[in-house]
Amino acid sequence: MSVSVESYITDLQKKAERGELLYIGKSLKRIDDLEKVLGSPIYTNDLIPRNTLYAKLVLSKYPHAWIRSLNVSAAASHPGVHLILTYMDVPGINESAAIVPDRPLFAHEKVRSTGDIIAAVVAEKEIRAMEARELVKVEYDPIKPVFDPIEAMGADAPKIHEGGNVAKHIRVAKGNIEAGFNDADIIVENTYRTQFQDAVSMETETAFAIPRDGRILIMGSMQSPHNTQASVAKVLGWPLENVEVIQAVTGGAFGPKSDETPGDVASIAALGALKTGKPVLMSMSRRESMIAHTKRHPSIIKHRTGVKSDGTLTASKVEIYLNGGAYASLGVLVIVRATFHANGPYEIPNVLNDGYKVYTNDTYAGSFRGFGAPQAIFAAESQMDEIARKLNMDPLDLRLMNMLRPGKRTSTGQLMDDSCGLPECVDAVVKSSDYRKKASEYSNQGGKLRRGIGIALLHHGNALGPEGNDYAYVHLSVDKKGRVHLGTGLTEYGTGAISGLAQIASSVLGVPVEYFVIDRPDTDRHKESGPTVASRVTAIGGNASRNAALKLRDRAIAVASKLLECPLSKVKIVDGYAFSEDNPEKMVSWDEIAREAHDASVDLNVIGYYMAPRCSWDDSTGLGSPYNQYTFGAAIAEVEVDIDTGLFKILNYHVAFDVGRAINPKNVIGQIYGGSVQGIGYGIMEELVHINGQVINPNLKDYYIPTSMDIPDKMTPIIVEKQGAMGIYGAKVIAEPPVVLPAPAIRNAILNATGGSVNDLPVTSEKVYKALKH
Amino acid sequence: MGVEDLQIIMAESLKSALKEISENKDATIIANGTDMMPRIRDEGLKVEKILDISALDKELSYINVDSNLIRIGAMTTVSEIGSSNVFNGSLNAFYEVVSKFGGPQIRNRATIGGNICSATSSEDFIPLLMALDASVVLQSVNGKRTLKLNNFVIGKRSVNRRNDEIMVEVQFSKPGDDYLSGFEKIGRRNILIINLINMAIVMSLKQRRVNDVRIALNRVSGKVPGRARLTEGFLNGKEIDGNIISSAREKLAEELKLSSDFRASADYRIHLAQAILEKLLNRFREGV
Repeated sequence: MSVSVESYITDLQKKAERGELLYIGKSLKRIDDLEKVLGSPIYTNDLIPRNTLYAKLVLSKYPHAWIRSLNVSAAASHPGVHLILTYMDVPGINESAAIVPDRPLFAHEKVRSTGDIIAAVVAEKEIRAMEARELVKVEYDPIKPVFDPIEAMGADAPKIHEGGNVAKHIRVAKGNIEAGFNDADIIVENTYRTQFQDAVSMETETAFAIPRDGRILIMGSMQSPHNTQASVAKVLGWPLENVEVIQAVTGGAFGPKSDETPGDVASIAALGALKTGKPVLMSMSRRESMIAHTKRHPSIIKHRTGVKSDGTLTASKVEIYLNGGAYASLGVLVIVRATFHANGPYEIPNVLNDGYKVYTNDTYAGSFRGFGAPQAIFAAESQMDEIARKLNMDPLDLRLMNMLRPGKRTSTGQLMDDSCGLPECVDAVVKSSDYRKKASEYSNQGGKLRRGIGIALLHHGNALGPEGNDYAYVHLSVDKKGRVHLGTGLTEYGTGAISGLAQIASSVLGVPVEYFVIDRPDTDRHKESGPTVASRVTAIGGNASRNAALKLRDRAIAVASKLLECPLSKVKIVDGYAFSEDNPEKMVSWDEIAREAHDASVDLNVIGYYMAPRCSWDDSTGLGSPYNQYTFGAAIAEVEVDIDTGLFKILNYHVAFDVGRAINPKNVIGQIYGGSVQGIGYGIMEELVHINGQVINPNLKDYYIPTSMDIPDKMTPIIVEKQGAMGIYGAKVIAEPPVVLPAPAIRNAILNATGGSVNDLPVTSEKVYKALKH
Repeated sequence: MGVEDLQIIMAESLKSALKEISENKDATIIANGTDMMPRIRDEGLKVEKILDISALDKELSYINVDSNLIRIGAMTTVSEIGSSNVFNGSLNAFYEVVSKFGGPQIRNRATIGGNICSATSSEDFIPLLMALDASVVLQSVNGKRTLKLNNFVIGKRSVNRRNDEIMVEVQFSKPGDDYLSGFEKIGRRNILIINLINMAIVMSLKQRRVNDVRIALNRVSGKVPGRARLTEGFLNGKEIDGNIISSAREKLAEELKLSSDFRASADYRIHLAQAILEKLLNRFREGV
C-alpha cells in the first residue's frame, strides 16, 4: 500500500470533521429496527425446549441472621422436583462476586440481606418449583441489622463482613480546603439524600443452560458474556473454555446486567443442567429480580461550600455515603465515579471529597446507568441553587461564573482542553428555553399555580477511566456473497450501539450498512472485549471496528485492483462499488470483490483491536486525570406547581449534550429521550422501598416508572459537537449522561417556583407540599 | 406462574354459571381477570378453582334506563361505560372515572362488576356508586337479592357475597337534571396508579344552595371506602362560597381516619382530599 494506516486514520479523522464520511453523522436505520418493532427477536425464554427444567430461588427471610439449619428434604420429595441446589452442590468456588470476593452464590452460615439466595429449586414446571420452595426449611438466628450507611460506619455497628463495613473509601483532594473556606464570604451547608432505583429492564435476568459433550452452553440476557463465563467457570470449578456463553437478544439492561446477577442465574442454570443432564431455565420473576439484583445506590451526600459574595466558589467539601447494601458488587467503582464528579462541572480551587461505599443489611446496590453520577450531580446541582439563593443571585449566573471551560481544571486537577463543550450546551438550552425571560417572569408570582424554571449541568468522564482497561475487539468476516459479519464480545441490549459499529466499519469500507450482519456475541467465537458498560461501545468499540475495517479494506482493495487492473493506490470503494480514480466508469461491485476473494484464496476475516490511552489517577494525592475525555450536558426544566397540594407538572424539558461527534444522530437523540425519561422517573417517582431490610414494592404495581402520560409534553434534545481526543471520530459517550440531569433540573425548578427546597429524592408532591411549610 | 394447575370452569351462560357456582362454592369468580391475573402471577395469590364468567358478557353487558332507574350489567366494561351517552349531564362523573381508569387496554377488559367485587381502595367506581347510593343485585339458583353497595363492600377485598351468588348488576336512581357530579383522583403518576385518594361528589345546586349532597371517598376510615357524612351534613342547605368551602375542608379532615403507608402519609392524604373537595365544589359553583 502506498498509504500508511496511520496517515489513513488521520485522513479519515479529517474527513469525519468535514462531514465527508459517507455513513458517519447520518441517522441510519438501526440494523435491528424492524425486528424489534415486529417483536420477532428470539429472547432466551423463546428458546426453551419441552424437556426443560425450571429453577426458582429461595431467598432469605431475614436481612441479617445466622443460618442455624437448612433442610431441603420435604422440598426435594415434592412432585416434579428434580433437585434442590444449595451451597453444598457447588463443585467449584461458592462465590458470585465481581470484584471483592464477599458474596457467595448460595448463602452459607450467614445471610446479610433479604436478597441472599439460600437455595434454588429445579423442577419440571415452574409452579412445582414455586410450591417446593415453600417447603425448604431454614432456621435462622437473627443478628442485629444496620440499614443506615453512616450508622454502619460506627465503631459498635453490627459487623456485616469481616474487615468492617466500609467496602471502599476514596478521596479527592485539591488545594487547601481550610484556606478555601477562609477565603469565603459565606459557607453553605446542606445534606442531600437519594433512594434505591430499580432499572426495570423489560426482560428480567434470565439464563438457559444446556449440557453438551462435557461442556456447558449458556444462553441468556446479559451485558458482558465473558464475565458470565468467568462466573460460571468459577462456580463449576471448570476451565473457562469449557463454558460457552451466548448473549441472547437482551430486553434491556441498564447496568444491573453487567453486575453480579447474570452470573447468579447462569451459574444456577448450569449447576442444575449438569446435575440433571437436562436443559435448565433460570428466569427471574419481576419480584425475584427486584429483590435479588443490584439497584442504584441510595446515598447521603453532605455538602459544605465556601463562596465569595460575588459568587466565586472557593472551597467544596463533600462527603458521600453510598448505601451499598450487603455486598460490594461493582459499587466499589461506582463510589469512585461519584466522588470524582461530586462537585459538579465547576472549577473550584480547593476541594476535599470523601466517598464511602458502605455495607448495610439492605439488598445490594451496584452498577446502574450513570454509575454514581446521578446521586453526585443531584446533590452538587441542588447545592448550586441553594448557594445562588443565599447570594440572591440567578442560578444560571452563578454557574456561568464557575463552570468548566477550556483551560479550567476539574476537582481532580484535570485540565479541560478545547473539547469542553459545556458553554455551548448551556448557551443552547438557555436560548431554547428562553430562560432569561422566564426567570424574570417567574420571580414575582401570586396565585395557587406557580411556575418555575430550573437548570442543571454535568460533566461525565468517558468510558472506564480508572475502572479498568478500556479495550475492545471487533471481528469482521466477509462471506462469499459479500455479507460482512460483525462480531464482538461487546453486546447490544437496546441502545443500537452495535449497529453503530457496523456504521463505522461500513464508512471505512465504503460498503453500505445493509451488507452487515451482526453475530450474536459468543465466548467461543469472539474475543473478550471488556464489559459492555460505561457507555463505551461507540467510543471504544468504534475504534476497534474502524481498525478491523482498515485491515479488511486493504485486502479488498488488493482484490479490486486486480479486477480493475489498476494500481492499489488508485482504488476507491464507494457505496458498495470499487473503481479506479482514473477510470470511474469501470466498476466492480462489493459482491464481485467478495466472490473473487473467495475464489482467489484471499482471507477476508480480520480482527480489529483498540486500547484507550491509560488514564492517570493517584490515590495517594487524590489528584489526576482519570478520564481521557468528558461528555458535557445542560438541562432546563420548567414546572407548574399547585402550592396548595404540592402537585406539579413538568411543562417542558430542554437538554443539550456535547457528544463530540454524533455517529448516528437519531440514536443519540433516542438515548437522550430514553435517559431523560428514566431520569424523570428517578427524579419524581421511582423508589424501591426497603423497611427493615424487606423490599416493600418489588412489583410494577407499586414501583412506579413514568408512563407516556408523565413526561413533559415538550422535550427538546440538542446535540453539541466538540470532538474528544479518544472516541471514534471524536465521539463522546451518551448512553448514561441523560439520566443524570432531570432530577436536579426539576428540583431546582420547583425551588424557583415555590421557594421550597426538596433535598431528598424522589421529589414527590408530598415532599413539595411539606417543603412549602404549611 | 400459578395458572397451570388451576381447575377452570367455563360458564357459557348466566344459567350455567349459577348452577356451577351452586355446586362449586369454593370457586373464585373471574370476569376478565385484570385484577386477579396479576395477583396470581406476581403476588402468588393461591386459587385452585376458577369460575370463568367472561362469556357472560352476552347477557350481563348492558346499560339500561328503566324510567328513573339506571341498571348496569356486571360484565359491562369500563370502555363501554365511557362510550355510552347515558351519563351525559348530571352523571358526567362516570366519564371522569373512565378517563382516569388504568390504561386503555385495562379499560377495554375491566368490568364494573369486577371493579366492585375486587373491593380495594383503588377501585374507582366504588366511591361514585356510593355517592349515588347504588345497590348491587346478587343472583343465585334460588333467586335474586338487592343490597346497598355500602352494605356489600365491607372492607379491603371483602364483600358480602354468599358463596353461591354471582353479582349480576349495579343499579341506582338517576339524579334529577339539577344535579351535578364530579370525580377526582390523585396518585403518584398520571395513569396506571393506585390512587392516594379519590373522591366523588353528587349533589344538586339550586340558587347556589347545596341540596342532597353525597360525598364518597375510596378511604374514609383506614382503607375502607365510604361517605363523608359529617361534611355532607355541614354542606346541605348552605350557599357555597369561599368561607363555606374552607369550613367544609375542616369538617372533612375531622371525619377522615386514614393511615400512612409507603405511598403517602395520612396527613397528606387528608390534605389532598380537602383539595379535591375544594376543587369539585368550586367547579360546581362556577357551573363548569
